[in-house]
Amino acid sequence: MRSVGAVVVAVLGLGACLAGCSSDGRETIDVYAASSLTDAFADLEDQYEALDPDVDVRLNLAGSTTLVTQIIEGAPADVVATADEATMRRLAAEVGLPEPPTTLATNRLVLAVAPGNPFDIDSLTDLADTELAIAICAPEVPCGAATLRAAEAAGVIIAADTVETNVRAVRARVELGEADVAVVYATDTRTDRVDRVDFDGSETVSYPIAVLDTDAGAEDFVAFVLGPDGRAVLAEYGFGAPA
Amino acid sequence: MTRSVPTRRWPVMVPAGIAVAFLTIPIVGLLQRAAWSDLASDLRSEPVVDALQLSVIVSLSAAALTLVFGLPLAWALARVELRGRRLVRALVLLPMVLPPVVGGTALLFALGRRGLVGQWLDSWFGLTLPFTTTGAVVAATFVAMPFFVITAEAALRQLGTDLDEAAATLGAGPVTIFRRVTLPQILPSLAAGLALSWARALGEFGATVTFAGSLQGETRTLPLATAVALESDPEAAIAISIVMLTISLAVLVGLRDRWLAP
Repeated sequence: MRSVGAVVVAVLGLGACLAGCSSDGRETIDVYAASSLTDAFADLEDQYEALDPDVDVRLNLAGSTTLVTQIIEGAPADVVATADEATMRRLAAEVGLPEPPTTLATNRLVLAVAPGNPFDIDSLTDLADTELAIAICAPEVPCGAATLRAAEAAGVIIAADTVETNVRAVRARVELGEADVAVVYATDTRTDRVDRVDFDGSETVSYPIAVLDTDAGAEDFVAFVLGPDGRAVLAEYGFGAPA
Repeated sequence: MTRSVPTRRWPVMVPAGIAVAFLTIPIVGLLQRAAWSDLASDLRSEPVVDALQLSVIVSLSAAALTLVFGLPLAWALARVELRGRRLVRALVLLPMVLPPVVGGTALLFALGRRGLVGQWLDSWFGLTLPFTTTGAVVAATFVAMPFFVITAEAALRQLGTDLDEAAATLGAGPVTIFRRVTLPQILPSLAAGLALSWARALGEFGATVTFAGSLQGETRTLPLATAVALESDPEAAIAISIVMLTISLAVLVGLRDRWLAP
């Protein structure tokens, strides 16, 4: 009798954890977010877990295009937030989204220069100068695609010395003194080691967020992130509100 | 009476078979995803041709530097009575175990624009290594040289000095001894070590992208080009990977019989 009871309890326990369980039995929500959302989402994870201790939010932070490739190849994401709409559209075309994505936040491109702006850089046209050491993102990633659009709109050919796939690595070039200027997101300049320079014609980029698994508590997490608490955290890290 | 080979070989063959499968299944996975019909045009595209040229130049230059500086180092470690030799050997082999990105970061702090040595290169000679092909060669050499040094040193140690001493008693000078006695005997090991170093230099990613950056035609070697392509076009990434596979296979097979067999 007791063994039957034990089996029943075990089965019920398993059933309650169909959406995925961490080793301590909490329900897990796997959130895949673009690396520029790193700091903001770390805070959002803490706040959400404090609100609902039965939930374990697990963050996978990487370049948006890497995340999308992982999901297309079968990675078990419950929520995904990318750094531009084109990447989200590519994901939707490949795997199909249960619900349409919503805009999470906005960001914009700015120039990152060494503290004090020693080279007096104030616009994108300055980046045509081959004497400057310039770091930008590759057009294959959202940051780079936006950079390319901005350069084309301004009629500037950027004399880049390195074209990389990770916006934080691009910022690091200026932080370490290897590059004189980098084109990064506004949210990436909230550090003492670089100064921010806004340039004319910098467009706003939108970050979409989508639920991939409607069984997990994913929808609740997304609702939290899109709600007033989530907005406050995102604003704190320099993200703009959705248009 | 000759003993026949024991017939119960499965304790060896089963794990060996698993090892072969483990090492080759990913390659098969890569090949079966390749868009073979587009391969030719993918491979003729400018980014891939530039990456291939750079990879050949950078890896061969790294191999040459490895030989020129690595062989004397291996000699010193094997034959010269240095105090603190063990420490020197450990330091010299460190780049082999260091995560490549850490190696690249270390190179930045040493040879970057604000680096320990780099800042003087910049202010005295106007020479900067990051973002240049030379920088990519430096990064590749840094990670590849230890492989050659460890192989060459082991070969020299194993050889011993008996024959060298015999030749000396017969009147041969040091250069002649090296050329006609030592070198011919360690040549297969040197070739193997150099091939290993070259292969490591060819596949180098982390240190190169961290120290030299990534720019088509300047520093974006095949591995770096693969990483960029993977972001938006996995098929192009697979095409580039096939190029690397082909080159590596060609060299390893070509070298195998002539040089690598003892």
